[in-house]
Amino acid sequence: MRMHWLHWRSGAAALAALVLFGAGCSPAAAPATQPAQPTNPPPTTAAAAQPTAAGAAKPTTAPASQPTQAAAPAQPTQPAQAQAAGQPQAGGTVTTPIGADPTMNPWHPNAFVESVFVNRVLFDSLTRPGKDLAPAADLATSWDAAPDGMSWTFHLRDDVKWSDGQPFTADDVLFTFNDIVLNQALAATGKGNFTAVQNVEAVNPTTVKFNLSRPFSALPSYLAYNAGILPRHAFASQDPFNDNAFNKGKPVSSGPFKVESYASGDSVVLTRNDAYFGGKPYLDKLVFKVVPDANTQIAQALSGELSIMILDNKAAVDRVKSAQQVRVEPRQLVQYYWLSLNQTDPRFTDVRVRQAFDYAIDRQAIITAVEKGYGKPANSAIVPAFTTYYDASHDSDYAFNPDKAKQLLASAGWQPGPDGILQKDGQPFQFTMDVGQRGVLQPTNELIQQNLKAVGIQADLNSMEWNSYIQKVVVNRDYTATVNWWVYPNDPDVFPYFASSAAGKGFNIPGYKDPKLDALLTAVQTETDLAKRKQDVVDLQSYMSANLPYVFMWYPQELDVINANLQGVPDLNLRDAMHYVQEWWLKK
Amino acid sequence: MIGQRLLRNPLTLASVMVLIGIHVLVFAGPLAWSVSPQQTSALNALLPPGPGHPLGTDDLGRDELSRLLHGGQVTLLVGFAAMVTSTFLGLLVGATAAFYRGWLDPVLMRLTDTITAPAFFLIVTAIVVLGSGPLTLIAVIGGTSWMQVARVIYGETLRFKAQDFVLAAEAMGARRGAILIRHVLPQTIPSVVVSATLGIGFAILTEAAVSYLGLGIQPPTPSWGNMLQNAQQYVWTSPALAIFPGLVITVVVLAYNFLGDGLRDAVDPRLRI
Amino acid sequence: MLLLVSAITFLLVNLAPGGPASLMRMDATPEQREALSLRLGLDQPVPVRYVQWLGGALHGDLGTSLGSNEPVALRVVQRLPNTLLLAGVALALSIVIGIPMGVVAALRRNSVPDFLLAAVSILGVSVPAFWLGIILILALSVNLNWLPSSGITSTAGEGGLVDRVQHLIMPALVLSTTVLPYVVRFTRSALLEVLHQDYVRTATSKGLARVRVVFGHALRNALVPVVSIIGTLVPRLVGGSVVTESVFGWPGMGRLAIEAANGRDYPLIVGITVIVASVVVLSSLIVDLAYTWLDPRIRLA
Repeated sequence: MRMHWLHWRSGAAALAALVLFGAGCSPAAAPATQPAQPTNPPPTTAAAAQPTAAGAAKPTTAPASQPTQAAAPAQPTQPAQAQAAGQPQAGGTVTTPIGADPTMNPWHPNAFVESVFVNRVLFDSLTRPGKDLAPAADLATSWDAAPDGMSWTFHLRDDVKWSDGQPFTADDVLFTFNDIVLNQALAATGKGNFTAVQNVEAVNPTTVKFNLSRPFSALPSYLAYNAGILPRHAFASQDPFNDNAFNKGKPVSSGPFKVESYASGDSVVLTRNDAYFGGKPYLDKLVFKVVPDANTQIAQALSGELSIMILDNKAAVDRVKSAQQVRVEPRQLVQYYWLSLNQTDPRFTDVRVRQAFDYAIDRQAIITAVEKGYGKPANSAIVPAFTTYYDASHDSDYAFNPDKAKQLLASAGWQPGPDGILQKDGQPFQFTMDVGQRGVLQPTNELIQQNLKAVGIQADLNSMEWNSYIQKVVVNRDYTATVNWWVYPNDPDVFPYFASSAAGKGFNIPGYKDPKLDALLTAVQTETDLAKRKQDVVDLQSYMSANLPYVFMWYPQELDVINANLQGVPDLNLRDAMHYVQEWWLKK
Repeated sequence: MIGQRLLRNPLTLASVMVLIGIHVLVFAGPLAWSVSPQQTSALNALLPPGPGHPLGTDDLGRDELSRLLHGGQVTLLVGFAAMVTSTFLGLLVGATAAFYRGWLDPVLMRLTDTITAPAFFLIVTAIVVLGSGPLTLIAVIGGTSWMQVARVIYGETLRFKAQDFVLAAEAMGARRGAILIRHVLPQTIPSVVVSATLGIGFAILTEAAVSYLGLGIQPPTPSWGNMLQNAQQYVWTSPALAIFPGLVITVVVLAYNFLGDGLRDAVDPRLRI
Repeated sequence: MLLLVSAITFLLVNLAPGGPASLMRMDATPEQREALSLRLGLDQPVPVRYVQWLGGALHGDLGTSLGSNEPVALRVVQRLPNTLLLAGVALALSIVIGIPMGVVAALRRNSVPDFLLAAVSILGVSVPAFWLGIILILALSVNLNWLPSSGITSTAGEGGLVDRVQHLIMPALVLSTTVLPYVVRFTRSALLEVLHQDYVRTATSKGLARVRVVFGHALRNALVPVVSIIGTLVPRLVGGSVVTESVFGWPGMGRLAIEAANGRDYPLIVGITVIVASVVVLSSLIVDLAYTWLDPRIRLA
């Protein structure tokens, strides 16, 4: 009998290899004490000592003469070195990951998600997010609204130079807004935030005036939200969105770092702008490396290849926390997850039904499961990050209570059917939830499905790839129920997401129409007196919690993973923190 | 005779037994182990193996063993169906091209070559277009993996076409189509079986790869591929979630590959060394 | 043939639900979507768009990528060398490792080394490649810090040859496992077949050292069919590169294709498919030529 090469021995060898493999994959009792990889060369000049006015060059603003201004004065931002360990040292390279190639033009239709980080460094705006989230000075030193609220005037700096040496003037602001943002044909990204702006005019070379079609208290905050100013002279007569030398090459920028090189699919390297108006940054270089896979990002943060990143995969937080070479910082976000029950479906127009959903869904459990506890149940659209406006009295509304849910459903006419599913008029309470495959939506929906089943509601899940999901649910509004989130600028003006006029085609996804809610939203949108506005927002929160236009789910937190050597990063979410890169420094 | 040779090889025998065992477990197991694969329990997330959960629980507290069994049903069925599709297509294309020759031959074989390369890209594109249900998956995987079968059948058909019994049949006036179906094709059955066996392994791996990209069987329905995809997030804290589906895929594919190799050696006298 | 592939792909992707990523955003208004559609030329019917694309393609202009506004040809050219590098090195690795393995297996058939080699190579094709990749990253990058875990170089351009090699090792290894078994298996059986031929037996019986026989005569003849196998491996490598590139963050065509598919970047998808198909056809042509050159008995039909 001839022996065959595929003898049992080779099979046994294969299986042995497999077992060893499997054993080797068991949780690595990894030594957490990896020596921190130096990501930066040794300091070239020790004499680089204290850069003058490092980051402290943000002037205090005099509040405008009218006492009832909503223009929060820019905070004299304390350079972070006051709190950091030791004195800032110059030099070094900080690397942060992005998911794909950026487009370096904040208004380009392709400039969203990853481009945001790069553009916030390259391009200054009129205002930037203050460390308390109120708008702080950037290219504008101060601002005030007209008494009738129909215009805002911004006073600009006169000492800002573009990276090609040209001076920044009011004309650049006009170019950015009149020629790009407000140009209907260009479809600039984010133009939806400026629908109230009719045009921008130059009062003089250092003063611009935004003329509005209705009062817009939130304008200064919105100008800090991905609203970089572009240089007119760099575009000449070119279509700004087709200028690849700028958008995909070496843009003319004004920020603390400028583009040195761009390698598609690999990285964008920024180098220090010594002429930055806010003072010379400490770091030599800022590198945005393309790392699309979340696990690879974590691996690189642990090995020191990345200096700072957002921990998308929160499941790994314990592992990352146990590593000495990085620290994990939770950050507040202006974001809330919600469940939208389409108001064109008569079952959902009864507020008791919406409240029942809220009681039936164990939101804290979802936060524990998908956010590893980094979040808080939400009962309105106003986030806890708005310390001035947030009303904590609603925190324990709708605590998990399936019995209460069943009661509410019963009072709305739903009775248990023969198979346990609730019924009304012979129709079972059954529908399909569309699930977009992104982030934590999939596991969230699976948990919600089980919660609803427990109170007799049958929710079937229809998982779709993100692009198709957007078309179906957002563009066509062809859905019954869906879970998603909103991120918005640092201001409690949430009119676009809740107003009756925004139902159907606008951002009012559930299509909830309520004139009382509209009145509250409008008050917040137009009120200029800070104290009155605060009260309006408090009223708004109460109304939202009681009536649930969306079924609010939770406010997530962001987890930033920061290399132990990186100092000077403010306590802001990473996108907002990008406005302060000139204060970051590396401890050698 | 082939069967005899086959069963004399201990490795192939072992593979057959392993495969039978796994299939029985996967399809009959849930009758005995009736824990739900979909019941979540956020409090019991990521438990290690213990009472009530022999293989632990996943990130949403669902029983891992149950998901592995139910997932196996989906993966194995999709794999089998995709293999049937690809075998059928491959047979069609390869035999037709070889038997009828003429202009069909180069056209079909060029088509075979051209589709081979961008196959994965086509899979991704097709799923994005058609949605990601199991039927789409079967059609798409089957529709992009028939090329190997086609080439083998092509070669085999050419070989048998020239043999005496075919010439004899033609001389007796039999129609070409009838000759193809009743005389030549049966000769290729051994090769077809070999290709089919190897094809199942390939289909299973493709399902896993496609699910890794988020385009395969959609959760909450488990499949070995999407369980692996889901487990990626947890490699840092609970690598076991990735090990079980990965291990089981590897064992099944390994077994099919051994079986296929054994079959090929049993069938092809030239390689019996 | 390329025409057919391009037409099918064009039709297929344009039928997909959804639209270019820049339109399919939660925060885009209907007016923005309309204006953008107009700018991107998506308001025209599909056949018209195909003809326009074809007209450009015949002049070498493969259109403009919707996702990045750059010419499709440019985007592909930026990434193609990376994939070719990865696939090339993986192919080289599988040949350099696989042929000796196959030779040893043939010479020592039915003994322990033979079985081990069989085991290892079959294992390679049975393990899901991305699983292998992630395990390797965990082991070698995170725990042992021996190798970098993604990308092509450390920081743009900084890396020298050593740095590039370090980044290349893991992905190339993982990718080569998808084709290694075929090389091993085929080399082994081809060599065994040759070894049993009369002229080999004659040579050994005449007293020539076995080694001389093997390396001098048998191997060269055995390699001829192996070369033909290599031709069929190229498509396999290209397909496998999609997943490997994703796991290792390798900026190649595979990842570009996934991004393009997810973002409905129609011109880019079609461009990639056409170019990949061309590359494969080209490579199999080269292999055919090599085959003929190696064995003068064969004539191209």
